[in-house]
Amino acid sequence: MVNRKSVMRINLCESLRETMLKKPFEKITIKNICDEAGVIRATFYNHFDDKYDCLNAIVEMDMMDDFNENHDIDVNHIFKAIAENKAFYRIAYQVEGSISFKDMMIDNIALIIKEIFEQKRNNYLKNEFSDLFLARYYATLIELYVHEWIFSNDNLNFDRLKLLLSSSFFDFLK
Amino acid sequence: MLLRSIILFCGLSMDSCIEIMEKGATLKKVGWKENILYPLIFALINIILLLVGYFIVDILTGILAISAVYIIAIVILMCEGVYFLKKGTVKRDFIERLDKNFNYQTCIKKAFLTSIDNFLAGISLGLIGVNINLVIFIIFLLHFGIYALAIKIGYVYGARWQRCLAIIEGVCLIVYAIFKLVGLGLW
Repeated sequence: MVNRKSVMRINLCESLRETMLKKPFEKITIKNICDEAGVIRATFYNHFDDKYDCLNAIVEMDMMDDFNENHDIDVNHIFKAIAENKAFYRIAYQVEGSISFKDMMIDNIALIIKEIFEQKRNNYLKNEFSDLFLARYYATLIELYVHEWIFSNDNLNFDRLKLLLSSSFFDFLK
Repeated sequence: MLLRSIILFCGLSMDSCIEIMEKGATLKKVGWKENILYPLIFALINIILLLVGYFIVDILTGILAISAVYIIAIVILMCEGVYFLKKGTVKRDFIERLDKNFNYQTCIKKAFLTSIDNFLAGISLGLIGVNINLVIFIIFLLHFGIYALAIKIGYVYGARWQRCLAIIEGVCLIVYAIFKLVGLGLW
């Protein structure tokens, strides 16, 4: 994991994560992140355009690392880091602005699903729905589920999520 | 008069100061070149527009009555003061985002946009008949110094105190306009 990603990039992400636990996101400046990481502004701008970009990198890092290592549909791996940083994610979900945290979550989940589809999708409705459309469709559903879980005290129940994903709208009708 | 003019022009530099400080916070690198050239562009354009305003008075007075031009200039300055005061009281979020496209052309454009108040102040000074030659060099140095400091502060500490600076500018313009109205006997 560390070999593939720049140490500095991870360091800056972790600094933002730490700072967000102490300070509201809208009040966090680049200087706060740089001070926490012990670097100068130029270093931050070498890796990210702004703090939103850095926050997105945290989500990407948390989700993709385990996925890339295991390359498995098992969502246990994908959401392991989120489960370990539940307090951070509760705060992060308050982030609105040019791009909301919810959108970041959907985008990153969609990226993973798209990658899975590219490798493992069968021909069912292949001409009707693109990989990207389906990825975003299911990402929105998963994000909603994850959001509920983050704000509850329960453990993430993947069996329930799988049940939800395998059900269609018509299954819920009489 | 000299001191009053200097205080006024310190106030007038505040909107450019905000702009350049915000710019400092979005630049990857602020070396000696950025620290000198960007403030120099802002200071020069400030002074040029001030002088244009100052010398345009001759043309305006040929078309309109002197008192009418004088009042128009004061009203515009007053409106601008209120605008900045309002800007200073409204919470505005500035996101520090890397500006990859900032160059001298954009710098000149921004400097022009933030120098309109200097143009108006130039008109007022021209109408009052202040000998601007005495203060022009001091104003230029003041502006340059303030902007050089602002870009460095923006880079090191980030863009902050924008609201405070906007209020300073607003107050300066309003106070200056009131002084002129008092001088005219309209207050």
